[in-house]
Amino acid sequence: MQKEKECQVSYPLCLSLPFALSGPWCLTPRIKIFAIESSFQRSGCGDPLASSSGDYDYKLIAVVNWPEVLRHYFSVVTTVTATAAAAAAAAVSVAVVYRQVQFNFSFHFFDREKMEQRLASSLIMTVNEKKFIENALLSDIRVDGRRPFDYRNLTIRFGSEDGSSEVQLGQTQVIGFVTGQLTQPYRDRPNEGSFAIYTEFSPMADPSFEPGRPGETAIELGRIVDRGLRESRAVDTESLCVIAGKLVWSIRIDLHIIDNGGNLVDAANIAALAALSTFRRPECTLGGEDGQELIVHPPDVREPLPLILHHFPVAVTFGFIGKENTVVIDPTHYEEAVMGGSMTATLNTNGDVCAIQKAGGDGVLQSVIMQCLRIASVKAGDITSKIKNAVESYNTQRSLRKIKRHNPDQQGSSDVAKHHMERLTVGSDESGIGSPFNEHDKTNKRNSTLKGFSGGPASWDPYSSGVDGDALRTTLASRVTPLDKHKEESSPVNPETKPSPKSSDTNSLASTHEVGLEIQQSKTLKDAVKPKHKRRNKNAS
Amino acid sequence: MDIELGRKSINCNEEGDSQKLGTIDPKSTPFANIMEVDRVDGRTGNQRRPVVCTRGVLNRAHGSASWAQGDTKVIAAVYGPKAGTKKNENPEKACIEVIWKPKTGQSGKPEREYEMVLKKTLQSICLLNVHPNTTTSVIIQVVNDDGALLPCAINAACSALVDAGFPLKHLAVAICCCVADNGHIILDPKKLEEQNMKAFIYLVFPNSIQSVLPEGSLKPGGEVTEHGIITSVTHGVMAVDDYFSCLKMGRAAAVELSDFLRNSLKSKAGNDPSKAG
Repeated sequence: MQKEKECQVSYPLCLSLPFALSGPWCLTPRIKIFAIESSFQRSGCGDPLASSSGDYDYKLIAVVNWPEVLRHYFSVVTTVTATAAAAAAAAVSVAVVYRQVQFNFSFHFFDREKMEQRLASSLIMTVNEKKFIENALLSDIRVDGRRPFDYRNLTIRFGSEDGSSEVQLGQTQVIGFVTGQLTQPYRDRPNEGSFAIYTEFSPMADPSFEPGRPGETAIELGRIVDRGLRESRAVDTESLCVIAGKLVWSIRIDLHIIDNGGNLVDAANIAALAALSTFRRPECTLGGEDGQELIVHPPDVREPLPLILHHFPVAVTFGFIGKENTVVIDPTHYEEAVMGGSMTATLNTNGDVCAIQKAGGDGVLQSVIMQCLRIASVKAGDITSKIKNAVESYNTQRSLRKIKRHNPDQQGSSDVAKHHMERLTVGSDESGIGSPFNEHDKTNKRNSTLKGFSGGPASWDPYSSGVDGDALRTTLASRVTPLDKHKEESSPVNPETKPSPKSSDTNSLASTHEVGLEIQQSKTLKDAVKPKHKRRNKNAS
Repeated sequence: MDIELGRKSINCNEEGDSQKLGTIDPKSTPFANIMEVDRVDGRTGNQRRPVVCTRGVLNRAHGSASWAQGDTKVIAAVYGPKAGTKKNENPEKACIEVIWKPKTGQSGKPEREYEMVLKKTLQSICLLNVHPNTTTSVIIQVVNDDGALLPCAINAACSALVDAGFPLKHLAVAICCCVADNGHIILDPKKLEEQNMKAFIYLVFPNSIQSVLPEGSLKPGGEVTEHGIITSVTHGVMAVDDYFSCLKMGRAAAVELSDFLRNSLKSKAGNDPSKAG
């Protein structure tokens, strides 16, 4: 029984070489150069040419001796050449691998530099600061003086266009824009519009934010806001349908984080809600000859329509600091760097829980979670009422603007005064401030009957220099009633209104006074008739 | 030259650059009744929109400013100087990096162009040798675009650099002029006006110099430095004469705007020391 051991010619080495170098060896990878078994008994099959197990290819080379010698020689030669070639190939491949490694290493090196820079710009908390925050919380005091379940000051402002909002929650600032476009609907929802949320963590918010692709925090924030709005069906998508199956409105919400003072989720959510509430889409009707053509009416032809929001899902974030299950609401960025875990609960005033997000972090007792949810529902009510007040004052001001444009003669000074008041109050922070002035204006409107007063809008910007908002409000309030009685043209009035702002405090250029100065005076018909002293005025800070 | 200027840009003051344009009663100018330009919001041809400049709007940024010209509003933030320069930059000087964030959508080619123009403009006003081998990031966020966006951004960036305490040679004052089809030169157009005009230019001038030195020493070669142009970006086709008259009007407006800028930047009461982090 001749059993020639199969001769594997540098078989494993063959495969490790790149194909180009291996040449003929790789072309026949399976051929063990030789294996003869003269008696082959395994599977009971006596045929020496049949392969029994799957992995052996038996190739009968010869039975004669000299071919065997040749075969041996061949195998030896192949072995030798194979090893030589293998050595050469190995040398080359090592060189290649080395270069590769070097390349990878250099990449890695650059990455590390960048990572170091990123770490250097991210917030590094010392142990002292961490301990200070935790210890203070043991006595229910937070670093900025709040109690554990107090929210920071919330300010909601609106831009000049519909659907743009600016929210300030303590030191965190977020701006939101809502835009709409007509598109084709999704196949499985032919009569529903769609909306999408895009979050931008602007590099101006935090030195560690990088431009470019959004990181995981940005994506998580976008997802939380999206879930709150979409799954709870807060935005009515069926009303966005224009032609079923062909044209629907696709709403795009852009949230830009411009200042990171902690708790970005809540602020972004409020910005999204505020922007959605003030967004207006143009009205579309089917018209044309066959009734199939779509006419999109521009905003000055037909009043654009607001979106239908069924409810306001408000996100409330809790941070869990330390081991004693200390909970804080609305964490600042220092507390966020120190906290062990966080939970965001999205609720509405109907008592529905729209979404809860607790992604990892420290484990928390069930009782604590339930307590958090109860607190969150109270806070959600507060925030919802603030948003609604802000939106209402914006809407009143907007409708006033429209009225002025179309019926200038009937409104007169009361609207001018109201216009000024609204302008002043919109900018000034707490939305609560708006209401007392609204009432004041309403009484003025009832009292006044003047038609000819156009002192305010005639001058380009009556506030030639820095003006103290409060002083101006009071001066205007006191001026409105006496000025009502004058039915003269604006020129004698102009010098009157101008000295008063000039004489007021010019040094009150604190940063909160972007207020009354964004006045874009709208023209009335009176202005077209009588050329006024156009004060070329611009500024105040 | 003067007569032609008088014809085309009538509202341009002929008594000299130092006089403020805004105080002239339009009716008293000799050519006023010929060319009352009717603009949508009732301004005359050489009236800018009201400007609101606020410094220190952001808490985390080292310097920040918001600049609003009428409805166009831009927020600028500055971080820096940070260690290290970018790959192909000169390590002997400070490097300025500009990031432009549009209101909606992705950053595309127009944003890259704005970044480049802004970067070159800021490089020419900064003292780059004070902090070599550093990078200063200027981030611009467009809040609303209603015409003259790039000048607004340049002004905002300049104010933000001042707010951050970055060493500057002088301020940059940017203004937009456009040429209407009938040859009028109009200052500070809104977006609709920009789109309907034949051509418009963004101009950036250095701000006017207030100095205790005698007049003569500030004029190397006989021309005042503030007449230099830092940046000029044009869109559309215009005649050479139109360009020069735009320059003249722009310069006059820039003088006034630079006074405002100086006053508003000076009067902020001391920097907030808690902004160090």
